[in-house]
Amino acid sequence: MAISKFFCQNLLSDYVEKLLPAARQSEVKQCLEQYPDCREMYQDLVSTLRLLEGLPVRDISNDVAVRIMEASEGARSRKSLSARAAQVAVFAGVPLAVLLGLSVLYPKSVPVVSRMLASTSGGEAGNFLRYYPLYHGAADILDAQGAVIEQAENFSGSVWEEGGLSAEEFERTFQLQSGNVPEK
Amino acid sequence: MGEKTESRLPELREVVKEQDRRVYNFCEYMLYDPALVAPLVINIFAEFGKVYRRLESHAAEYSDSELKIRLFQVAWTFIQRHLAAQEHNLHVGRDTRDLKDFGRDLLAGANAEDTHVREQIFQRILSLDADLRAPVVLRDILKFDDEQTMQILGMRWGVYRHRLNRGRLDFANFLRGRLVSRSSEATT
Repeated sequence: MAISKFFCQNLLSDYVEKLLPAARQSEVKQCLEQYPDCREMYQDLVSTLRLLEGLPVRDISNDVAVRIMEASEGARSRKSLSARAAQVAVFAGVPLAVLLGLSVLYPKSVPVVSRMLASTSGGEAGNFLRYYPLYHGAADILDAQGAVIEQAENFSGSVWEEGGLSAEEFERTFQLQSGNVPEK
Repeated sequence: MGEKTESRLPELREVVKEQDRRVYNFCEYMLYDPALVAPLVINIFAEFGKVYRRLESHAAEYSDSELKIRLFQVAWTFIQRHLAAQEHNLHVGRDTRDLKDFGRDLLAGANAEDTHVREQIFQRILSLDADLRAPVVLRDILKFDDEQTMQILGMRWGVYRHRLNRGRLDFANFLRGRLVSRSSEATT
């Protein structure tokens, strides 16, 4: 079965490189024999391939070759160094600069700086007094409070034990008066 | 822990030395402005250097030809980006290249050894659509095989073969000095 010119032209490269199955290869061959314009296209293709095959790979200058080598070997390290420097500048440099600015303008607002200032001015250290409350009457107060609590704990029994109603009194007062005698 | 892993890659210097001319040629055939070829190729190799070091740090095993394909994949990505930027210029109308200034039949009896003829051939290759030109350049000029060209261009077999065929037929027409490509009418 003959194939169309359109189909034949689409398969010309495959035909030239012998990539087609045998049956298809013979169909294309038939088509080339049958149609002169397909045959002309085929011959042009073969000549073009021959011409392309003969084209040499063009040379490059030494200067470009050296620059290419440098780019492939050195570009990363140089670029990464500069990138890292930029990162350090942004993430460490900027906060440090802000902190320095603050400590210069408002030294007392920065805790580290204010402490440093305090430690450097040694005369003021004597003005501070360490206060121990237990040595200044707090122990007496605590003893008195402890005694009161201890007393209170002695009376913290049940209602019956603290002088309220005994069980018998309760029965007598409430249950017997109302006639509500529990069944035995 | 902390042991340095052995890399099984070919030496970077060797790969670069072997392929620099071919990558340069690929870019030369794909770009319209020769002045932009060298900077682009340098960028391509800088990027390839990074790719290589990444592979090295992962202790990847790449053969010489796999690494070569990786290099040309990087090149093709850069070329596509560059052409996309140029396309914009073409639409705006800044590009004044005369793409169809043919005339002489270079297939019939022209001496391909002649420098002037070679320059004309080069110009006519540049007249092909970039999508058709890339397979032709890689397969027929830089002599990659079909499998490698497919991998570099990221195409499937059918698309690749179709573009290669169309590129060759269009180029044949351009070499003949025909202004209108008969093959593109027939095959599209």
